Amino acid sequence: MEEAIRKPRPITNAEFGMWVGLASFGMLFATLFLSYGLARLRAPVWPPIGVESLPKLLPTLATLILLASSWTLHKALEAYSKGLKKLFLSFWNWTVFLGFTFLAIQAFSWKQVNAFGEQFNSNLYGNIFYAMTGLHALHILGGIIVLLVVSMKIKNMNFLSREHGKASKQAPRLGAMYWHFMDFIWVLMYLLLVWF
Amino acid sequence: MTTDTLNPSHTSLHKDAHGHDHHHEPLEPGIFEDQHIHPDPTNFWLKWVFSFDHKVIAKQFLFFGLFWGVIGAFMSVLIRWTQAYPGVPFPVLGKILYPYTDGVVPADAYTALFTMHGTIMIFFAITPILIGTLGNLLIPLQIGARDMIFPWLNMLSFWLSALGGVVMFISLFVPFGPSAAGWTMYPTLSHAQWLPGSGTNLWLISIFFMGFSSITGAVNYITTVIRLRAPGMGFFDMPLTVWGLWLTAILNALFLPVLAAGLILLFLDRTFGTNFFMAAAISQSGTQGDPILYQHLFWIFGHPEVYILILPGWGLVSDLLSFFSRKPAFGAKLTALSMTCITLLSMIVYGHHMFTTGLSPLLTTGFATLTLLISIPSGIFFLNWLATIWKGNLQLNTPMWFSLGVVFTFSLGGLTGLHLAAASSNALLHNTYFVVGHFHLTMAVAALLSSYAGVYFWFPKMFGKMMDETLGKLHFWFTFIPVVLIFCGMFVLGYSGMHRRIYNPYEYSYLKPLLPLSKVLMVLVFTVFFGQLFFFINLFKSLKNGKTAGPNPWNVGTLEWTVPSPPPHHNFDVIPTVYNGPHVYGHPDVKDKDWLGQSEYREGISAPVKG
Repeated sequence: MEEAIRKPRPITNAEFGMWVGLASFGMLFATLFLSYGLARLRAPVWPPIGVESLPKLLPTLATLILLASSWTLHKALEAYSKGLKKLFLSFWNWTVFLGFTFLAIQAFSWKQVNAFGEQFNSNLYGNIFYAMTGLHALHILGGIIVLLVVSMKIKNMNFLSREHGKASKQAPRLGAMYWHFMDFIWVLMYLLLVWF
Repeated sequence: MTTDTLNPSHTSLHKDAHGHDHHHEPLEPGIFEDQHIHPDPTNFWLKWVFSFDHKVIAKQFLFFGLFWGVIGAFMSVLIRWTQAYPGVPFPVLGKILYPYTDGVVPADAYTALFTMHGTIMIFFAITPILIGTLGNLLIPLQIGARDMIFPWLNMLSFWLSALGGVVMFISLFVPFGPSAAGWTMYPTLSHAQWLPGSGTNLWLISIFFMGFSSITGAVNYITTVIRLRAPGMGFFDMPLTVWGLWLTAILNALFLPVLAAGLILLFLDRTFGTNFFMAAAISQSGTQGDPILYQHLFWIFGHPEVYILILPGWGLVSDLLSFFSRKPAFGAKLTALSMTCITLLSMIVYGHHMFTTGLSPLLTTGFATLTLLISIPSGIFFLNWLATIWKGNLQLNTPMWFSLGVVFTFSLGGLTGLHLAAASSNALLHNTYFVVGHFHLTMAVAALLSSYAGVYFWFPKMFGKMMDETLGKLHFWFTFIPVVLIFCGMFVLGYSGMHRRIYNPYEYSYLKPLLPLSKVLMVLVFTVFFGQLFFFINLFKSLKNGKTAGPNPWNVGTLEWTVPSPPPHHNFDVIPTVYNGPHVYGHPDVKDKDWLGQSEYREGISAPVKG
């Protein structure tokens, strides 16, 4: 009976640790969301009078790109578990590419908001927008570095050999957990900042 | 039956806390899979500096914490001197420290002093010693693991602390001095406009690193406790020390990121001119920041933080009281559950730090009620402590004295907490010395005494030598009595209405009669400060030529005492199987001794063999 309801693959130690770490990252962003919510509660009008609201097109595009990157990452992991190294690497590198694209779009939307006259330190609206998206972008940049390191590791790895340490075997899955999580955070941030 | 034959192969069954049987297959990176025996590092750098070994990292944290502890304690001496003799040069060292004022502690330096005293004691002394040292040393040893689950992360944790320490040390010597906004760093006081200079920026960076270090440590502790417990060890078979450290780690992992977010926003305010926390920078309606927002963020972290500091102490005192009463810990399961309950409650009571900020009456009532609720689980484990020592066969050695000291100081601190939890009396006592007395007794002195209890108790395991008992007891009495008197004195000061952060309170005529009391407190502080010499002499003397300790000098049953002192690099030659709880003392059916090890199997006493 126990056997029947057991998950097919028990969670590994490293994945467990990653979940705890993600809870920490989650609390960091939850705090930012809380601060944003309190600022909204205090403000009589939002965006404040005389302040342009955020552009819709670029952030939406960024969201789609990031969702696509999660899909390619998912496909990469599927290939990984089937032992298809080439397919894995190509999907994985697509994810990295989409990650860079996301950052580029973010840079464009910062530029666009800046062109509206909304500087980083001009008022709370700008403060919140730049600080939240900026902090998220830093985490995406960290994610890209992780993905690149993993892809370099995997390149030299013999998929059929059992000799490889378990840690490096799990690296793609751990990187993917982090990436999906930051993706999720972005979707929340996009909905809250742009549409509410 | 030897433990060897019972040692689970990868296919053995293991009962977890819910009583389910889990099957561990080979080749899956399962629970016991990862615990290889690694060869001892031979290189000096790998062995002592960039070490992955939890026991070495524990020692690194110990000396790091002691170094900062001395600095923080010296600051408290300067603070009390200024309070007792305002305008009088500090003897001997004053001329070196403050040459421009002829040895008198100036007002701005005084503000920096109490800021740094709080910061250093909390983040650089208690956290490294209680969580860094004892957590690292004990979690793997007491749950029967070869090391922490992520040794690399563990090393990172220490070196992030070290980095934070270097940054904070530099901040003590920058122009305009270290940060002086109080350890809470409230804006607008901490804004660049009021505190120019790099001191506060360095403070923010340093605490960010310390927080990062604690989070990496916490991820490690949480995962290690859940995944690496020896076969047979359910959650309630863990020593309460591990319970305390584990709950602390959970709070660390969840709430330090909240502080980190607050610090990042404050840093942006200071350096990039944003105004998250600055109400003054109003240019358009709805665009001003809110200094109270920072207080929310700070205390969402800050209240769990005080439990972060004291939970390890509660846990280890609960264990030591049982060990040295030679009695089972009374209601050990309930103690663990009430500590868990407090951990959960601590997440939702932070508002009691902000009763005077104009919180809505509904929130005030809610936070006051929740805070008072904490006294129920606190009462439970406190009574458990008393019931544990009741009619026990007390072994009054140094660790036991320190544990009893914790029981006493914590009761004083806990009872005065009620006055502060009730919003109506809080309104009068807020920001007075009454608060200072309360939080020192609960989370500072209790944490200090339990750190000492822990160091005296586990010193033989760490270094293989016993500490000197006579010096230890002298150290206890020279610490305990003055410390209790100091903070009881502070209750009097606070009740008389003395604000906690005034440079010279006696400029107010109604506070003038308190000057003699301040002088008494100053003498007591000097006594405590020099009383610590007993500890340091003892430490270095015992390190050099202490009596050699056997594997189990205290006759205690937890797993760390089954291995040699100091333990080998891989801790356990064979991962032990656990049959007994951590507190089997004076069991009527054990005839040959008054204790039973957790991995000792006795027919009819131990839990049935699992798996």
